[in-house]
Amino acid sequence: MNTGSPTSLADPPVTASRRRILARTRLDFWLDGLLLVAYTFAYSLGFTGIAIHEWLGIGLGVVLLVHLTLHWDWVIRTTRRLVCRGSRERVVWLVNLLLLLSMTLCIASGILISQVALPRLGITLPASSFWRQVHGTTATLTLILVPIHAALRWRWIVGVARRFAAWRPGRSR
Amino acid sequence: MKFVRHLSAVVLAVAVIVGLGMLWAHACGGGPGSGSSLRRAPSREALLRLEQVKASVIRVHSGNGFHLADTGDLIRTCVIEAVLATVVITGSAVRRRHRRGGVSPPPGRKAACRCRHGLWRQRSIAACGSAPMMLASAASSGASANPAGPGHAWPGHVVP
Repeated sequence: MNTGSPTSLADPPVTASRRRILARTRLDFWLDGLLLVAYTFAYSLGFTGIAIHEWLGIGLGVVLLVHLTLHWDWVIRTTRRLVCRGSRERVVWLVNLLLLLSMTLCIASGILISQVALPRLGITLPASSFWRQVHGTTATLTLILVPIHAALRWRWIVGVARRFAAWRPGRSR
Repeated sequence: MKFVRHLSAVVLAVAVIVGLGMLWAHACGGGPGSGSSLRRAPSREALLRLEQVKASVIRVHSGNGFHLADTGDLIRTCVIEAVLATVVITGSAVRRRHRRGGVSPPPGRKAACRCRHGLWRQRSIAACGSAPMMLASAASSGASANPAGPGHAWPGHVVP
């Protein structure tokens, strides 16, 4: 993350806007980490069992909405300047779009074939092999796209992790 | 307010995707309750997965709580993610290095970055876009002895 203009001795140690940026960066970092861990657990159906798998999937859907909302500015900005930007930005945009499609369909199909969570809420849907197949295919596609999505931003992840590792309360960086 | 506006846009986008999925299901005749499972034979993948479940390669538990005995499933997922991430990161690093001509930043210059002329500079110095001004200042400071040529001689450049 770029730290912006160089700070001088006259500057206050942590300005309000800087504090806001730091808080937002921290929120992004931990939320993205939570999503990655939750997805890894949710995909490991044998480890979690069907009940945790389903509830985790529904929770993932909610957190995914928050994640998308927090990065909606990026989506709009990148989509607008997609024509004049370099190929890397295009690749990131394409990976993110595919991930959005596959994860949305994966969670939606998971809800439609739910065996534990929805009946617990009093909703019963008839079984469908189509949605079962869609769930399996999109889950596999998501498993491929999630690490790519994270790895395309590895410099940001390493940078923020380093700053957090060096961060002490009362210090600006 | 901005958050709510963005959230509604996201919900709309997700709803469109789910709607398209429903249309797809309808077109394939596989919507909920359509009974398609009776009409269509399961795919090879589904059969393979069923075989794996039967052979206890993949065990699905109906009970609550984690099954520590089945950490192999979790480990397999982690390994797949780690391998894919490593491939992408390695590719990105190699491409980045290739673009920079295989030159690493000078020691002690962690905050330095490269301008489009291929020379290292401090991040606090203005971007290379203002080249004429830089050239003028370089000429006045007598920095034309830069081995990279007169076009690159401006303050802040660090020749690797």
